[in-house]
Amino acid sequence: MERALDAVRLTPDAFANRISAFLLESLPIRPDRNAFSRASRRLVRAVVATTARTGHHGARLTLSAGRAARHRALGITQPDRRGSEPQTSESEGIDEALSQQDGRLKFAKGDVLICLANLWDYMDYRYLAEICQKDGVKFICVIYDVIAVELPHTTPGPPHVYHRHWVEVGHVAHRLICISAHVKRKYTELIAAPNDLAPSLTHALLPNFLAERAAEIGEQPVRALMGKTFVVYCSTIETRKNHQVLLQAWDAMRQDIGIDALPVLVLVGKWGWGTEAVRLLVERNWRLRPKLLVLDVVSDAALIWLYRHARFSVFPALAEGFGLGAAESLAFGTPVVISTCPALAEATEGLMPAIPPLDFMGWARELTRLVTDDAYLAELRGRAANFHGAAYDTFAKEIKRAAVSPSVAA
Amino acid sequence: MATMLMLAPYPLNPNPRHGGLMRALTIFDALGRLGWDVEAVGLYHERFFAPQDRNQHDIVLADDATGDEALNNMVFADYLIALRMSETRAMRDALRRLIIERQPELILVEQPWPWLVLKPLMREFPGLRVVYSSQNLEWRVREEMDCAPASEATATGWCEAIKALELDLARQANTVLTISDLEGDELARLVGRPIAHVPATSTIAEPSLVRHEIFRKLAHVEHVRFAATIGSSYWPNVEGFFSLFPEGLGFLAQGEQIWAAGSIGEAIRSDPRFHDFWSINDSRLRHFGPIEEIHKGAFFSAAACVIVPVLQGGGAKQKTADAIVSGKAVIATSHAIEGYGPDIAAAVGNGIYLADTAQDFRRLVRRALREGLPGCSVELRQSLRPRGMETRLAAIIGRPVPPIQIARHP
Repeated sequence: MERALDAVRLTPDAFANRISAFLLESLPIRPDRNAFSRASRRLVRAVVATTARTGHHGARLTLSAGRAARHRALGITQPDRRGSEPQTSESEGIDEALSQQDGRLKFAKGDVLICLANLWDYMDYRYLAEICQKDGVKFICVIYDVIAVELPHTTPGPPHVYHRHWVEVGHVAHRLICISAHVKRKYTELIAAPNDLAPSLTHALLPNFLAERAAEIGEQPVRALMGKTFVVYCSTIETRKNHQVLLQAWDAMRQDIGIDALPVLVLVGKWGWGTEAVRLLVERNWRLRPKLLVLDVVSDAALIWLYRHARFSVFPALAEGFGLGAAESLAFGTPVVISTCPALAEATEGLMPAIPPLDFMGWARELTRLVTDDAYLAELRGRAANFHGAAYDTFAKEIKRAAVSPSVAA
Repeated sequence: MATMLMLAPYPLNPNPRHGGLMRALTIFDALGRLGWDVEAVGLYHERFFAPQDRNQHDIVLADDATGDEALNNMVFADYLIALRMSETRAMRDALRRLIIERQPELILVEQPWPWLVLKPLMREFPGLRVVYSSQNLEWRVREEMDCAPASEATATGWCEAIKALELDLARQANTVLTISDLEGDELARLVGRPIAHVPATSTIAEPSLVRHEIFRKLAHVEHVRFAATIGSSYWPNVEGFFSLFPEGLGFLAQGEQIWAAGSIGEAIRSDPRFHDFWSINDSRLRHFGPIEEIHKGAFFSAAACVIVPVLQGGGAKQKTADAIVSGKAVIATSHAIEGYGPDIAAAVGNGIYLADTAQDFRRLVRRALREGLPGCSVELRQSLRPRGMETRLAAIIGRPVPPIQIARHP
């Protein structure tokens, strides 16, 4: 289907050439054949080529009508590639630089295009390269992680889709802004080096919106946990987040220190993908059920209450780009046990204990200590108080710096 | 006209699909131009070549057990088939009949395999001259291969038998010619006799004579600059590609591609290593399947450079000859130019650019695509033309003398 769509998107000339190449290959006219055979093949080639071109024309019309209707419905405007005037200067600002004419956007030299989301499912990389290299658009892209290349088995989609995105943006970006020094290192190691890319790379830590806006958001208790001791892990439930080690450790503690001494393990996050093993551990182990709670829909206010009232938090992920949940926990003064993933150490400023994500015995020991040893917990709370966190506007300022920095000739 | 039988382990047809067949065909044509009446006789198993590809006098084994065994042990398929043919009376009788009917002045054995069938008949035709044309040191090539499912002991035994076969033929033949000077030197040392060097030649069209523009137009319309490669799905070609592009083709920017012709394209695309980086690879690799001989010149002439990414095996010689003759910059490994003698070695850095690591190879490809690199000199290209082979064969084998009557041994 994708190939067919690609073919429809070709220009009529490009399509005609592709058809010619196909016919040349599949219907060769060899000099050793007789004249009738050669003439027949020429005729068949001509008929097939004409039919295909007609079909292509029709398909293009249908596709463009569908696209226009879809865009109208979504209120999307397209940059106009048909002309470059009027050009606007950088100083006139982004809104003016992306001036609209006949409902279409025009890119001018120096315009800044910022990609904050992971657009691998939607990006037309050829077009992106054209506007960056030919029109002089400054493309700034945020890199959240390169885990799909680092640990290909832990991603929901085919890893090659993410890989291409990171490579393509590396070719054309004016600046790539990573969300941690760890991501910057990993991008350099896993994407830039193997593909001989040398993009302009910087990093800035993500702000902690929850703590910054806590007063505005307020706090909402979670009834089921009121008056109980609990431990929080806030993240999507998926393979990479390594919930398994927690659930196994919790059951080991149940058998070791008894269920009554066990705090409730609160998993805050939606069920993601590859969760069969976690579901089994959550649903079948009825002995642990009183000490397990999965909250898949939690308001910001409830999350603030959870962070503030938890005995401690946990973050045993196999890999992270930053580890927002760990930073959030510390921002509310609650200690968090993290895995040894470097991004988590960076997000928690090296203040918290770190256990290798696959070291079950290590996790069981550390969790038991934090559950049973109040003095140790108090010590960690003291350390947590030293957490600074990234300033609210650090990341935005980094984007602005990239946007106003001069272009480097490709 | 003096007759020569040319025994080959495949049918000679005008559209060769791999380098070995192409080499045989070039020798066949050159001998014809020298005045020999050459009768090509393929000795092979029916499962390996379709009926329409076979020639009238081919000797074809149709035995299921051998077919199965050969298909299960592709590395040794040639040897196993030839061995069974030599043990089959009907096969020997067919060859004997041909010799008696055609009364050849000499028999050229292309690759060592047909010697297994011919050797037992030699005592019946005492005056018959034999020329051995070696394309590889076959035992050496197989020693480097993964021989599964054959056990190590079995594979070692077969390699030793192949070595014995090659050395026996090299000793008993009246004349021995090799495609590689290095392999020729080694063979000469092992059998204690002089070996003639007849390097690969290319029949692709001179760039100035190319009239067929489809590839150039295609590249122009799609705004693509490309590096060309032609090859079969022979395993060293595929391994070479993935050894030199281990993490995909992301080093190429938008508008830069590798275009592959021959069955190598499909072999690469169906390999799991291609799928690991599918999105970026699919956007940077275009494959055309096998293309006719007459189109190869056009294919190369539209390219910015020709790449020969081969690190092992004996399959690069024809590809290298085609690449050099194309007039485009040749980016190859040291292995790919082994055995060509001093003329080619002198062109390194001046038309031929060598890289044996992935990083160096990528750098050269990018340089050729972005800055351009010059191709080989006209003199060097001319030396690899069929005329050059004709001159060499005339000196080594000679022009035909009137046929002699060969009496059947009583």
